[in-house]
Amino acid sequence: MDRVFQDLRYGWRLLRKNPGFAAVAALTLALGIGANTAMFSVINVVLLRPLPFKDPDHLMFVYQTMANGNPNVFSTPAYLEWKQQQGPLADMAALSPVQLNLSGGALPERVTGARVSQNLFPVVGAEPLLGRNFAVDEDRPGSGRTIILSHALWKTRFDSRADLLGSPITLNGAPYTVVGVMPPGFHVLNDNELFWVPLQLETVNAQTSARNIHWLYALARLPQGADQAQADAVLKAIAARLKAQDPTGDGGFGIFLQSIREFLTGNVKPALLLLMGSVGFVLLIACSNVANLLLARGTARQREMSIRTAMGAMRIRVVRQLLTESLLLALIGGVLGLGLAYGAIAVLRALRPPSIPQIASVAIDGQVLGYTLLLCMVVGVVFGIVPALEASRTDVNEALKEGARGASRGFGKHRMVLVVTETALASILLIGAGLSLKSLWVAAKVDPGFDPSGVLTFRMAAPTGLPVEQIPLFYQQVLDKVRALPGVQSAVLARNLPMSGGDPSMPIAIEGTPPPPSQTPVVSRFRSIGPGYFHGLQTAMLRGREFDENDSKAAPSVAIVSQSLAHLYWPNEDPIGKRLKPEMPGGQWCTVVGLAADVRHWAADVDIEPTVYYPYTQVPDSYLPLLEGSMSIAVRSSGSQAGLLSEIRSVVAEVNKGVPVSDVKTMDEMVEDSGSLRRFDMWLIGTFAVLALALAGIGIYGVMAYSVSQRTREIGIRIALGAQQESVLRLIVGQGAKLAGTGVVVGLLGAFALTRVMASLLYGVSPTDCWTFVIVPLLVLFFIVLACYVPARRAARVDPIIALRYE
Amino acid sequence: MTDAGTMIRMENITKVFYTDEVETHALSGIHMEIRKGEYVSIAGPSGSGKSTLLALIGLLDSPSDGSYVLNSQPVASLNISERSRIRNREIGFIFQSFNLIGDLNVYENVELPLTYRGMPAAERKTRVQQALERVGMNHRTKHYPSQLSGGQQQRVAVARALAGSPAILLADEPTGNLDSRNAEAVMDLLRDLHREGATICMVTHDPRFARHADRTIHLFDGRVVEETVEVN
Ligand SMILES: Nc1ncnc2c1ncn2[C@@H]1O[C@H](COP(=O)(O)OP(=O)(O)O)[C@@H](O)[C@H]1O
Ligand SMILES: [Mg+2]
Repeated sequence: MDRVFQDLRYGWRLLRKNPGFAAVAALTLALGIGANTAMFSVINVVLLRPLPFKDPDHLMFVYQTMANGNPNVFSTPAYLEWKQQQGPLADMAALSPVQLNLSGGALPERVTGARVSQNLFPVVGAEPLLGRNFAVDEDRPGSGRTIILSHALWKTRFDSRADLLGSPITLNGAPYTVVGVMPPGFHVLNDNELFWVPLQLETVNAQTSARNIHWLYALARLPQGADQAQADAVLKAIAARLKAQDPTGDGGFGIFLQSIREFLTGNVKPALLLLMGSVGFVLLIACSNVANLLLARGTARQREMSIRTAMGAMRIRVVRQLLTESLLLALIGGVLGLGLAYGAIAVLRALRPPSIPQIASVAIDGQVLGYTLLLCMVVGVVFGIVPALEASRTDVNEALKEGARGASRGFGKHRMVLVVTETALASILLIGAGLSLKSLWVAAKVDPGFDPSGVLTFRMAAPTGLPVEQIPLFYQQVLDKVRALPGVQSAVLARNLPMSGGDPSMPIAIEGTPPPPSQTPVVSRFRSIGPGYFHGLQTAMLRGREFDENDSKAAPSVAIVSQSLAHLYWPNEDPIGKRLKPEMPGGQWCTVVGLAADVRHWAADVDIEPTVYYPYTQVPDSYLPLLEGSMSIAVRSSGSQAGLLSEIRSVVAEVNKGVPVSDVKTMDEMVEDSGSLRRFDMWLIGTFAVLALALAGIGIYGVMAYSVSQRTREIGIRIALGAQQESVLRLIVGQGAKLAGTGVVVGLLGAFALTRVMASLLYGVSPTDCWTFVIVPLLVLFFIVLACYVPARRAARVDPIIALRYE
Repeated sequence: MTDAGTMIRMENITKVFYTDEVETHALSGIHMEIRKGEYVSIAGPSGSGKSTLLALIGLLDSPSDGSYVLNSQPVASLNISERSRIRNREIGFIFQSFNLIGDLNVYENVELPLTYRGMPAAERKTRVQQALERVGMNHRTKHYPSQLSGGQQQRVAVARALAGSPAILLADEPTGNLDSRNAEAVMDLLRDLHREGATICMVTHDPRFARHADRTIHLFDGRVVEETVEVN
């Protein structure tokens, strides 16, 4: 222990004696450690934080498999059927998201929550912080209104009042009795869930009980000791049995299980891991740089080391002293890095990037500190060990020989390996960044089929209790008033706007085509829209007309099809006048009156799907409550969108005070947030890649500068013998370029192997994209050559007299 | 009064070094002439300006004042690149500490000044082989300097100086780092080269070797104090 202290004290003194070296090394490490700490604190919250469930690894989201093999949320009958099977799903719980208007505040508020079956909380293993779970009776249809609040809603809307339990609050104009409050941070489907009400699942005569209406998320807990594979096998066996009993039944298609962790984080995980990998590379490069500095210093300290050895220090003792020094350096870098990470997190929180959910709770906590400390230790050893072993190798004979050789190339094998490594790492990162950039570029050039610029969107629900037949009138009034606002060019209505996330589908029957033999129904995307929709979104109408005010409930049923749907079912035929029917309760034969261009509905980088548009006024009664759920309105205007929003709020209030305006977004934002690789991720990867290149450049610069200082004499000789300045420049730059070239080649091979992991994030770009693999290396080479140029110029200006004087 | 036989002509050459506000008058008012085929030795105590004079002759440095004509060419007007060219073609250096390049083998060391001329490889090869043969080192072409004795290294250095057939060989205490047996061998080599027609200007302390020269210029405190002509 005493010795450790002694080593530490001595190390500290040395660092203070060499403040320049210490500062450069510590700052380099700080960049690497800071970036890693910041990324880890994100991952810690998003991917590693314990989920608010008991034993989450055994908690599975359960989906029914559709005829086409895709998983889908349950329909009511399928859910009940699977619960009846004795097996892993006997106790599964169900839930479905719901939005309600919460009144009582200054403005009515649209809050998101979930309808949950009574057993949901027991299945996930969570208990209310206050109050109780729903009673079994309360989950029966028609048994009154009870509610459990999230901690956040309880705190912000109800000032954490304890007396709220048992008292009613008003949602959608109706009283709900508060029976419980969940602990902070509890949520199931997503983190903006603010309340839970009983599912009260109806099984007869309800629109939700149709076989083709899929609306129930389901959760099941695997038995202790069972894993997903076993459960899959059991469910497969049950499915086979069901298929034998009823070859056309839903059950025969089986079940898809997804762990709740995958459900909650699966979509952000690839990008986050990619970012974590990038900062890992940055740190490795920082380590190589510091190792290089230490190697250079080690040469200078050879004398000290030989004195230590001469005085009888064991080699291990010398290595320990040097490692203590590098650990000390790593810790100083770590402290500075924490500061950088703190700043980076503050910036991230201010930016609220869509690709980092729960960004508000990202912070430097105990775990992050622990990680950083561990990182410092590892880093200290990683960059310290080679220089330590090198410097402790005090072979006097060897040293003498080196001297006798006079002028030598000026750096050893280790140094070259380090430089090659960091160039390779930087190249890999840059290729990754290049691929991301190109992917975003390709996606940005994809025509989404509509024009998002200048469009503000929001969601709005018809007032509770409004008679079904008056709903269109309500929306019409709002639209008319919005269209009359100054600067507004158009305002259109749709249940699901492009890139808003919602993408319902609906089987259709095509007239004149025999119904498909088995469970392979014609599937199409389902859109219900208002008049002027295509004009409003600037989607091209290729043939026919779009819906107008005359397409009312009383008028003949009509539909508009997308180009891809027409191409699929009526190739080389005019779709206008054809008839199709949505396979839902009360669905009518609709005449196709228009052909619309294809729209990228999910994201620019997701393929188009055949789509049918219906007038929202003609949606069957069985579906009208879904319309009541809420509609989106897209407003195209030429003025400021911020000013527009307050005007919209006031005209909506003019029509009905109790209706909240929610989910306000510009369409540009929606487009940007929809891609799998977000622009923000690209910025981060790009930043890390540039940081990596800069560090690699500094590294090469350092090595070349050191090499030039070691080669001064040799260069002096060359100049004395008549070498021209250009040939000296070429000599040094060439040496750097050779190292860089090797690094770039290694990097290319590495990138070739590694960028495959990015494949799922890329759109329209192969992970081995030719141009990226050509341009990036050239860029790296150019930059490295530039970094070598400064020391090379110094070399070209060596005064031979001075260089040769030192004898 | 130039004449075709003059290789080097210096008039009133002065060299002043400025370091930390201290002026060092390394050379003052030097007049000197070296004729083609001559073997001149420069003698004088340490710090008397011998190396400085040699550096001026070899275009490694420029005089503070005075005129210097090398091989009929006034040197003052030359730019850096022309000076490099002349060093490379007209001058062969031999240093006290050999100054071979450790990462290059014997062959490559000798070849180095020729590559700076852009000479074709085939011609370089004959020249290098001739030069190494001349100094008796043609059996060691693949060796590195660290694998050679001091005497052998200096012979390679002489070969390097010779290979380009320079107008003049400049040697600054070429035997300073050698034992007497090796020193004598190198000196014999220089004398033989002189007999074959080379122009040589050599700095040496050793009166034994100074006697090989046709004439000795004695420097003291940056001035020429005496010139002696050797009678062989
Ligand atoms: N580059 C220089 N800067 C400053 N002073 C120098 C420099 N080179 C030589 N001198 C000084 O000039 C004088 C002559 O040096 P030098 O020519 O090396 O002498 P010698 O070779 O005869 O021993 C000495 O006083 C020396 O210190
Ligand atoms: Mg000298």
